[in-house]
Amino acid sequence: MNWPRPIRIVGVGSPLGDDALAWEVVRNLRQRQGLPSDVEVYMVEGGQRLLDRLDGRGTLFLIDALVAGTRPGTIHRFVWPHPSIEALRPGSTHDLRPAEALRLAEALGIAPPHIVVFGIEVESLAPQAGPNPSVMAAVPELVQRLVQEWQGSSTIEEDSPEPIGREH
Amino acid sequence: MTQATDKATRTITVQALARVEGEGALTIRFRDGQVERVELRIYEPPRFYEAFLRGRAAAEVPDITARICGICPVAYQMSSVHALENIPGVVLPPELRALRRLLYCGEWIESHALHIYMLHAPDFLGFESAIAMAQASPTYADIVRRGLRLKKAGNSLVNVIGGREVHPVNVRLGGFYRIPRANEMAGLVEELKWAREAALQTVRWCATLPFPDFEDDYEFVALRHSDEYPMNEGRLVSNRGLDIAPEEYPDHFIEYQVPHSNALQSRRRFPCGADDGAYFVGPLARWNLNADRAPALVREAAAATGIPFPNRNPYTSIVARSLEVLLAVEEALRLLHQYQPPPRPAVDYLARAGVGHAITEAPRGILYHRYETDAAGVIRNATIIPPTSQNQRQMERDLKRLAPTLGELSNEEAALKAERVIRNYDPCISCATHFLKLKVERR
Repeated sequence: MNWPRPIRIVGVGSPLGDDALAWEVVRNLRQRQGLPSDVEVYMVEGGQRLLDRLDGRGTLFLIDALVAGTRPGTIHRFVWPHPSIEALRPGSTHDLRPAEALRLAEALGIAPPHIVVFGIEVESLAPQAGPNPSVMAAVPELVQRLVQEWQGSSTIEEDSPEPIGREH
Repeated sequence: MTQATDKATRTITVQALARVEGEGALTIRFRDGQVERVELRIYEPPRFYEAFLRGRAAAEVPDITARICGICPVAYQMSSVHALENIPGVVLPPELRALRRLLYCGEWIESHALHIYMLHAPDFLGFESAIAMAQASPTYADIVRRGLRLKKAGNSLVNVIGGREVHPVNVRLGGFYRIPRANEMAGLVEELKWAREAALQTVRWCATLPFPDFEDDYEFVALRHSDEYPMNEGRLVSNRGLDIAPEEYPDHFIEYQVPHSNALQSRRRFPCGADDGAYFVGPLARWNLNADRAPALVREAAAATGIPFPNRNPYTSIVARSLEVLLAVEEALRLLHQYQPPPRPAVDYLARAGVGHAITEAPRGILYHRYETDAAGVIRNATIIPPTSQNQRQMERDLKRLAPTLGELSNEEAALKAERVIRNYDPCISCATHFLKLKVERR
């Protein structure tokens, strides 16, 4: 599918532990040669900052840690709205969960018409020193999938109830 | 939520307090229809900041304490730098002092806007959350949009002066690491002019909310400065005659452990009223004690609300908070208008052994820090008493007063009413150690 522009890829999470996976994906994307001018890449630490990146236009690809009981590093893909997204990131009191932020964005009229969420199964959300290799192993594949998405060459049109990609 | 089956007893439990910062729970136990016990339990694990500050260089402290809170990191930086600067007797030149006040304005705006719009207003309007409020009608969506934009205006100030929006990194002993450029500061003005109008609308809107009748004879405690609305400095005063320097704080207040909470509570060492040493800090206390220090625009806005101040109804805290948003925006515009980049980002100082105290006004109320350093400027002891610890005893007293009215309500309704009482104080449980778990026990 050719996603409407602008495309915004937003990673959510802290830079600590397995939560750092979105940071790594964003870093990889930013370092790529030839990032199209209508593809914007951001990193936010929580739902409120996500709202700052939305203006009701185009397509949003959200990247977040996920706990779904699959093998750490497994990539999941959901088209919003989707009940599984409610499970993303336990409720924080200092910020909005991504699903809350998306619902608030809809109420405020700033949600883009197309939203796809990529979740990577984490091993641990404890703020340990570094991320687990099992989770980071999924980063190159997710980067590749995001490139396919914006190039319109992804073969996945609908959400994937089953994990997509290799189980790391 | 649980309800005991024994008819003589009833326990209302809120397992996780919503729309407060951090994790807390509440238990109210009735026996034969009478309130037997009220416990505000803060079950977040203690974080041991005071212990791991020991042995660190004084210069590291502002960046470590900024990590205590994601909503009010500036307060932790301010109380720590002022306390540590008091040891060698550093006196900041006026332009650096003004820059710190400006940074604090940014934090007040973002923290207060968050609490008013996202956490507190839904209580008065019967919404489960700000999201439900925004979904209810285009008018409410506009109101939430205004709140989020106001918050962002405050965040932008913290970003430019503090180096980043959350856990800023630019404050150091003696001043700042980097002085903001004039054009960066000028870039903030337009949005703050919008924010001034939005803050005025916020005051008017908050004043229309329905306030339950809940007055009491509180002891309000806040800083008071000779000629400005207090943020970074002043004497500590109360409506019952307290008037002390910050270094006298330990002589007048005491922190103690209660078995049901991981956060220490604080009370007056020598209670002078019927409230057993409980006292009230935060925007309502500040406004009650310092309204005469506010700029004319804010005083006029307060008068136009028709709400009498000083006010002893804790539900009107939301109005006081909104007045402080307006005050912080007005102050920020004044300071930005005067801004000339200071010639030097910081003044020199020599480390020496000693003890330093400071109290500053965090958005939620007074924040006391005390440090003891050795001759090399290494921390030997640290004491940090956050506003939520200080308000905890008062919150429990309010809940005890509320509890008799909960007896006939369903557990859900009782929990909501109890949570509302707690949210008046904008508690930051993470700081003290937005969840309330309410447990009502009826025996």
